[in-house]
Amino acid sequence: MISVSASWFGELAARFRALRLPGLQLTMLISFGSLFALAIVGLQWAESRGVPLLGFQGDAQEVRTEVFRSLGLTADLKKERLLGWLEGRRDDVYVLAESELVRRSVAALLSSADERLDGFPGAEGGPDLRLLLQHLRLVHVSYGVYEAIEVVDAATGEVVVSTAQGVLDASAPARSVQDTIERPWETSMALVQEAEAESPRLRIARVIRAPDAPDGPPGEVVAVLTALVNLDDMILPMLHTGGGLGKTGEALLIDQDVKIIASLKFPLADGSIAQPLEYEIAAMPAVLAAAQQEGLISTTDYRGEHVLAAYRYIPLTASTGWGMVVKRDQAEVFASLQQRQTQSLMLGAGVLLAVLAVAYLVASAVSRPIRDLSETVKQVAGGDLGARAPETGTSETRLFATTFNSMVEAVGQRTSELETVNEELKAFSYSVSHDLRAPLRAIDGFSLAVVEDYADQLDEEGQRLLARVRRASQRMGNLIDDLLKLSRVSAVEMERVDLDLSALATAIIRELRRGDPEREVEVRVERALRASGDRQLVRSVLTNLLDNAWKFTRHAPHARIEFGRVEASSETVFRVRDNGVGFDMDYVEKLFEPFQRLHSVEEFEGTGIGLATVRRIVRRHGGEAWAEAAEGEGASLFFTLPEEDNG
Amino acid sequence: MVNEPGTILLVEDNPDDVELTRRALLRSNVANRLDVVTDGVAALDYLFAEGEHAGRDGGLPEVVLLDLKLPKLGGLDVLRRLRADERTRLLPVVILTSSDEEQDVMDSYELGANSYVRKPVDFEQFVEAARALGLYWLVLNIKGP
Repeated sequence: MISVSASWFGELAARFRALRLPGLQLTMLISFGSLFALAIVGLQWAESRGVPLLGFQGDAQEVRTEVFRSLGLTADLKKERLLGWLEGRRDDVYVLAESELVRRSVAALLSSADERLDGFPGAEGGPDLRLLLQHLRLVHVSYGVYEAIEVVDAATGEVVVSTAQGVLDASAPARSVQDTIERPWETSMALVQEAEAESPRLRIARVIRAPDAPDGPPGEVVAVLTALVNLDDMILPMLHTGGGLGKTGEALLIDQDVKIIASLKFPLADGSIAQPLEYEIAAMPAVLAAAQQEGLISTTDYRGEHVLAAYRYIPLTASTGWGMVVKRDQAEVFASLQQRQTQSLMLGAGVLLAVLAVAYLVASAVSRPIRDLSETVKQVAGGDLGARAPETGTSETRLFATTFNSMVEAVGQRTSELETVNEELKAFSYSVSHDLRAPLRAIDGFSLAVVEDYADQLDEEGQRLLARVRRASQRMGNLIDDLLKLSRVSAVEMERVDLDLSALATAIIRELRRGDPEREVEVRVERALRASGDRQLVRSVLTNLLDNAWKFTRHAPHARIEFGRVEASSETVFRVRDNGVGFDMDYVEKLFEPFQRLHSVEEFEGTGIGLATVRRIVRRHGGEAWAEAAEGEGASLFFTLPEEDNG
Repeated sequence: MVNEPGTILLVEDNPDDVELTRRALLRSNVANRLDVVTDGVAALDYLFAEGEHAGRDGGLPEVVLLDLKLPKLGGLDVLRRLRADERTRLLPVVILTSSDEEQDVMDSYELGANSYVRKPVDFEQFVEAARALGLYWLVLNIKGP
C-alpha cells in the first residue's frame, strides 16, 4: 500500500517537474496565492455544509433567535399592557353605566323634557343634570384618558350630556349606538372616525338602564354611555414605549379588516403616508394577527423590507379584536454580523496580501541568483569571458554558479589560446604572402635580366633553361597566392545576403569569354537561381567551378557548360555540368583536397586548390559539395547552400 | 634644376627588390633620379631633411614608392606621419608591396595612400606596372601646390 502510494506520488512529482512553468517568482506567487484562496474556499464550503468553522452561520442563527425572543417578549408585554388598559376603560364605562347615580339621573333627565331642554349648552339645568354632569366630569378630568364622556338618548341617538365643552350643542349629530343597544349585556368597543382629517377614536359604550324596580325586572334601556378615547394620544405612546427594538423597531395595530389603526412609523414603499382605517396591510404578519393567529415570522413588511416580526391578536370583545405586529428590520439586526463578516473578509484580504508579499520575497530570494546567473550566461554568450556569476542563493544555485564559473574560466583559457594561435597563423600567412614571394620575384627578375642582358652569350638551351626557371618561380607564386586564398576562406567574416546565382554565373562566364575570345563554348545558365550566402565567397565558389568547366572542356569538339538546379528530396542542389575530360571516380575524394591534381600541369594548368576552396566555402555555409564524373564524358559538380546558417 | 625631372624616393629594404625596381623603371623609360632608403625612419629623415639626411638639398621627391614591411618603422606608420605633417600632406605616395591582404589595402587607402600596387612575381608584369606608375605620377599627374 505504501509502495503503491509512493510510486503514485513519484509519478505526480515527475509530472510536476516536466511542467513548463512561467518563471520561479510567478510560479511561487501563483502557488502560494492559489493555496490560500483554496483554503478560504474550503472553509466557506465546509461552513455551508454546516461545519461552523468561521462561526458566521451559527452567529446568524443565534442573533435571529435572540431577536425573535425579544420581539416576542415585547409583543407579549405590549399586548398585556394594551389588554389591561382596555380592561380598565371597559371597567370605567361599566362602573359609570351601572352606577345608581347615573341611572337615576339619566332616567330623570330623559323623562323631564324641560330640564332636558334647559340643560344645554351650559350646566344651568336642573339638579339631575347638574349632578350627572358633575359626576361624569369628575371622571373625565381625574382619569385624563377620555376626550369625552357622553350620554346618548337610546331612542333618538341625540347626545343629551357631554363632558366635552363646546363640542356639543343641540344640533350635535346623532350617535349611532344601535350596535350597543343590540348587545346590552356587554361593553362594546369600536373605532369611529368623526371627520376625515381626524385620527380615529376608540369608542367604549354601554347601555344605561332605568333604575330597577324593587325586586322587579331590570329597568329598560334608556340611554347609552359612550366614552371616546383619542388613539393617537393614548394608544400610540403605549405601542412605541418600552424600547429594545432598535432604530427600525415598530409596533403596529390593525383592525379586523387588516386596516391600520394608528399611523405607521415609516412611509409606504411608494413614499406616501398611509391613512389610518383606510390603508389595508397585505404583509403576512398583519394578516395572520388579524386572523387571530399569534407567532414569529421572518418575512417582508408593508414597505417590502425584510423583517423579523412577532404578531399577536388582541381581543376587544368576544367577537371583535385587533392585530398587533412587532417587527424589526433584518438589515439592522444583522448589521453587526455583516460588519464582522466584512472585517473578517478584510482580514482575509490582508492575510492574502501578506502571504503574497512573503511569497514575493521568498520567490525573489530564490529566483534572484538564477536570474543573475542567466544574466552572466548572456554576458558570456555575448563575448565577455571576464563575467562571473555571483555565488549566492540556495546551495543548488551556488553549486550551479561555481560550476558555471569554472566552465567559463576554462572556456576563457581555451579562447585566449585559440586567439594566440590564430594571431600566429595570421602572422604566418602575412609572412608567407610577403616574404616568400620576394625571392621568387628576384629569381624571375634576374633570370630575365640574364636573358636580356646576356642574350649574345647564351645559346638556345641556356635560354630555354632560364625560361623554365622563370616558369617554375611564377608557378610557385601562384601556389602561394592560392594557398593564401584558401586560408582566407576560413578567416574572412561571413555576411549572408540574398544572392542571384544566375546573374553571378552569367557575369563570370562573360569574364571567361573575354579572357579567351577564341573559344566557342555553349553555356546554359538556368534563370532565377537564388540562394543566401556571403557574396564574395559564393562568387568564389562559382568562379572556381566555372573556371574548371571552362578549362576541362578545352579539347571538347562542342564544349558545353550548364549551371542549373537539381531538385533533391528537401534542399536545392546546384549543379555545374560540362562535357569536358571528366575524371575517374576512383579519385573523386582526392579532388577536394588541396594541391591534389588529376591531370598534369602540362595538360591543364592550375594549382589544385580550387575545389578544396569550393568545399571549404560551401561547408562554412552549412552545405556540401561533391562530384560525379566518368573519364572522357565530362563532370558534374554539385553543391548546396542551406537557408539556415549552421556555422 | 627646372628642367631636370623630379626625384623618385624608393623605400625598400630588400636589395633584390631595389635592383629589380630600378631595372623595371629603366625598362619602362622612367629616367628620373631614384633615391633609395632602406627603413621607415630613414624615409622620414630623408623627407623632412633630418638626422642623417639633415641639410639634404633638393626638396621633396616627385613620388614616394613605399614598401609596407620595413625595418624599424613600418610603411603604414611612415604614411601616417607623412599625412599628419603639413609639408608632406599632399605628397604622392604609392604603396609598392608584396602583400595583397585586404586589410593592408584598406589601411593604406584609409591613411591616404594615392595608389596601391602589388609587386608581381612575373618581372614582365612588374615592368608593366612600373611603366603605368611612371606614366601616371610623373607625366600625367598635375601636382598640387
